[in-house]
Amino acid sequence: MKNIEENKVPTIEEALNDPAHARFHEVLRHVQNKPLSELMPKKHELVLMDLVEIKTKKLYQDTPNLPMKKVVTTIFESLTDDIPAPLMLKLTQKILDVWESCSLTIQKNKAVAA
Amino acid sequence: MITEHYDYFAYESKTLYLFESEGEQGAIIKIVMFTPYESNFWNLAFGDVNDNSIDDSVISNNHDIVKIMSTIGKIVYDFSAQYPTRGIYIRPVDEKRKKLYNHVFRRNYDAISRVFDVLGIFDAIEEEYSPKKSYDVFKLKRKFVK
Repeated sequence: MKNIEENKVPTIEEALNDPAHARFHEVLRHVQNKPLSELMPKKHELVLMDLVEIKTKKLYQDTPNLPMKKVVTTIFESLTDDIPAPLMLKLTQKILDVWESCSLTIQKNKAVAA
Repeated sequence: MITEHYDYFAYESKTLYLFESEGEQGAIIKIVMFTPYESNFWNLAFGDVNDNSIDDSVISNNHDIVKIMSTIGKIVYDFSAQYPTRGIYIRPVDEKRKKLYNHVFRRNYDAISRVFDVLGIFDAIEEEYSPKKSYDVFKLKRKFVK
């Protein structure tokens, strides 16, 4: 494969030897091994909301008669374990809303076809 | 097209990058992270580091937005050169950033599309990116040159 950008990027270790970037060391100590949910909760929420919407739509296409309890558990089983409780509530509501919206769309299409 | 950019520093695994913006507000450390999303797509997260916490919605007003976006562009290239099979998921956190990202993709589409296949998502519908439209989310997948 052709590498389009051939620049050598200094590693963090190289940067840390440069006194001008000493502050990076402190930042690294703080962010390393922390999940996105902790570092950028707003971003984490948006990304999970997107993901849940896509997964719910796909699940509806594949199994439109799945009971709601199974819908919610199936979606949550596919997500990571580090979701805070308040966000779980929002995600559950999102799953229900998307599922209902898919169901209503199908019903409308059937009514138009009839 | 990538123009002037800041020097940036990559953590060994190249999933975390740091650089320093310099402008009217002084030096501001910026962080770019790639975290697993789904189906080998990795989410790009970007923010300012303030007192060791990360703010991904602040407008820092350092009057260097072009240089910052160019730096992020370079980082995206670097990440995908390291992990060419990983796609990149770019989700703006607010309307202002959504406009900015759409502007960046529209203006640089020719250069970006030489390296990446670009998808856009609007209203949860995914399609091949068109510079004539605005999108909520952007997905990049590196092209393989035979």
